[in-house]
Amino acid sequence: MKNILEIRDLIVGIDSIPPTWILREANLSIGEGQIVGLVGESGAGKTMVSRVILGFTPEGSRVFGGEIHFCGSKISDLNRDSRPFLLGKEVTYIPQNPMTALNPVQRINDQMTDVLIRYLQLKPRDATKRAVSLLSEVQIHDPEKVLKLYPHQLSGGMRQRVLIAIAFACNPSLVIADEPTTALDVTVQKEILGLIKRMQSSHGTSMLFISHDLGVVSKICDVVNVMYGGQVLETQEADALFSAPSHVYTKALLSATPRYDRPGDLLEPVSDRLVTEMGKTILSWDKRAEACFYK
Amino acid sequence: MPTTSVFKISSFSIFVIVLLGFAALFAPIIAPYDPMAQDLKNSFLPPFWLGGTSEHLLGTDSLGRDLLSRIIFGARAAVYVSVIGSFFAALIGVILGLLSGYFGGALDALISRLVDAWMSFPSVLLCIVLAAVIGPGLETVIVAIIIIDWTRFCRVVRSETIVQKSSDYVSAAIIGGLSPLKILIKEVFPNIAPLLVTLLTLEMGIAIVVEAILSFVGLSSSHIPTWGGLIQEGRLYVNQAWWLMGAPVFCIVVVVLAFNLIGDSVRKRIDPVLRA
Amino acid sequence: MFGRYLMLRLLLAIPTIFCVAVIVFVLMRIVPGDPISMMIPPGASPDDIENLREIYGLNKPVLDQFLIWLNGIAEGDLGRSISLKLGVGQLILNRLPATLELVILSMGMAIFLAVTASVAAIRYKDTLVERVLDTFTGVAQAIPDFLWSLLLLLFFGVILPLFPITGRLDPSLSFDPITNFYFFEAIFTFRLDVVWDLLAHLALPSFALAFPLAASLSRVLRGSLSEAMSQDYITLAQVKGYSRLEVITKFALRNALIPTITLSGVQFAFLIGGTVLVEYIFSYPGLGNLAISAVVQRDLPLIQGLILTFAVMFVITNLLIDLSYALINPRLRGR
Repeated sequence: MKNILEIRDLIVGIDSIPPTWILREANLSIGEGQIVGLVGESGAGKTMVSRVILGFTPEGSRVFGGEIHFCGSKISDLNRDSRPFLLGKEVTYIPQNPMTALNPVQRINDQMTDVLIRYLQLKPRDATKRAVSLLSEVQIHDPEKVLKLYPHQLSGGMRQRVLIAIAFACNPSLVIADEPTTALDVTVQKEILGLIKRMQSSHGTSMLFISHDLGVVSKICDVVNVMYGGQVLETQEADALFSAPSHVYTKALLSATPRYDRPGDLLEPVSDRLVTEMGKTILSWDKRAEACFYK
Repeated sequence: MPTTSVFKISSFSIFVIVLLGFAALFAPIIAPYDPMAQDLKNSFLPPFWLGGTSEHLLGTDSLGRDLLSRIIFGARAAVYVSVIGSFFAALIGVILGLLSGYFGGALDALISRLVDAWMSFPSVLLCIVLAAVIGPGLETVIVAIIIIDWTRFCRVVRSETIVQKSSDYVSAAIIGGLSPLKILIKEVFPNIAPLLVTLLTLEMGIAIVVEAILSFVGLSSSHIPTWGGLIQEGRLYVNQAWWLMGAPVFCIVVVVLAFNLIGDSVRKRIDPVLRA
Repeated sequence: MFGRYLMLRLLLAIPTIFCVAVIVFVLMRIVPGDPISMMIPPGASPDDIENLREIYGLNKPVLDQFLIWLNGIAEGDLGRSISLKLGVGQLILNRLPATLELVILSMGMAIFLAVTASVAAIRYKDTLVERVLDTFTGVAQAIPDFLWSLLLLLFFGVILPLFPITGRLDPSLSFDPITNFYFFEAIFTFRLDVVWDLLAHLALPSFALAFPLAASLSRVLRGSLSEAMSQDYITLAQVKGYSRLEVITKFALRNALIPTITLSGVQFAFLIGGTVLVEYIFSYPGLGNLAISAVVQRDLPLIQGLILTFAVMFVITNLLIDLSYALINPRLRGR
């Protein structure tokens, strides 16, 4: 299978003395038509991976080592303009918080059609028609009416549906979903997850699905990557990961997650010893890196 | 880099303000001529760098009066009016602000409404009408400044008093049995005094502009030279002798900028209070 | 719905204007000195003076005078000017268009300058451009419109004579307008020479009025713009592939205008007060110029009428600001 995106031994840090490391030789690949999960606790560098791909990195950050390949072409820096794809057309994004991600002073129609007009060169009227069909695709009733509304007139679930429709509007080759259900109600979460999965398979899109929630990831992803301290510790097919985790950290994470299918199991917090141990590994990595890049 | 520019700015401001004060205090001594002395043979002399003589450094006006002397005496009028005007505006504003902030209730509601209404009308218009009502004169200008600008003080002092009132030392004073008047004078006022200094600095710049405007429109005294009056006369001859208007305009602009720069740098330090 | 809100605002404006009317009237009656005394020809007999009082209604009790004046206003009659010996209403109507043209142009210019400066400052954040704009804004705000008028007149009217410094229209241009809205009429009758000359006359006064307003607007606007730039919808816009400038102008600007209008709406109304001096300095034949001469001449009926006019303009401006706020903020529009 061809890979849409490949990240090899990527080292990214903020260029201070000594540098602040954000990604420590991270590896990740996204195959065509796959949903690839990226899990880890906050601060693990999940969001940074998505930002590196999109070209939105914090001020002063740069690539110290490693490679990023998108459809075979190499991306060597973090500059957004040097991306070999059209942002908003070929690579799109589903944000975390639907409540604040839509422009409050624009009608839904304008926010949906702008990419269609911009990238597919549609006439405004045709763009609106396409927006209507997109909205019915994400199961919004009465799409003509919704297009005339402003974001504040929609519920959180509706807004996330609109954002998903925007993300899939130009048939992208890669969609990055950054915790797309975290800000939603549990009842809505399930519907939205199902919707994302359906949209992905019907559009044949590849997807990077970022979450801290192992339960959510297990439902939707084909392949799961576990991240900690800017490194990808383990990459496995979803089923394999949950049945036979190989890394101690993954094991610890799994036994800290409630499982409905095994109601008798005791929950075990990630032990202090493990945390200290992993901290040490990171520290030694940092020392090696400093010796390498900071002479 | 930022520190040097701040230093330059404040030393510029201080230089200008000291110069202004000096000119105002010692006008009769440092002015080379009597500002009212006419010399019709030597009218419209240009400043020395435009071909004039060193006897009249800034040249002379239509009646041959020495422009430099008139500007120095104009500074005297400007400072006199704005110092007195600002002082009384501050006095009224502080008293009403203290009472309003400390006692609250109906008194506060009344004073706050008054201030809001006052501030919602363009002050230039207000002061021209007021000056017209009272009739021209230096005192008119002073009264206009007081009537327009007491609100600035009142607003800030009121909100600051409310803050001070809830502080522990005021509670202690109340428990100690001090009368409200004593608390206001001995406890609250000293704590808002530094703020007041800033407000007065800002106010001086405003008062000097108000003075210029009223004298420009002809509502100040016509018997002594004022900067606004000089501008008014200069406007008449601007096509033949632009410096007659240019010199006083330059003076006002420099003074206003000086007060503003000082006020700005101080304002940054006490910003949260002033914004409230 | 919105119409009802507008009606309510209009109704609320009436007591405000009435209060202004009362205050102005009372102020004018406590004037020391007799307004009649200025217009008596030398050698007039006491009978003549009494006659004049009669004509202007100044011999009646103050309350009666007030009621007569109010009644007149209700019938569209503002009384007669003492110094110009013409109907106050007619005088004001003749001059109003000139002032309105100046006010509209200055406000437009101020908005244009403020938006351009703020967008540029945010687009070129942390560069020399931002620092230069900072300095300009500081100076423009520190100097009031009165001083700007004088500075512009000196530098661009006299020392560098680029613009005319007096009047509204060069009298040598033959232009016989039907209305007093010279500018609009010239545009509609395709008199481009007249349009050009009117603009040349308007340039200095409107810049003088626009500078301080633009500066204080852009301070607020820049604050709300940089606040808006940190919002989630901006990230989404960037991810949609818009450039930084597009993101600012198409997404952040409209959102930032909402708090800007709330915070600095009053400033617009204050520009109207500023026209008084600016018109006087440039001998521009508008209401402000008329107001100064009325004040200097102590022309009571004219002053009263003018203040009332300014108050009405003031209220209308505030109303328009509220309206634009509602138009720009969709949350208010549906109601």
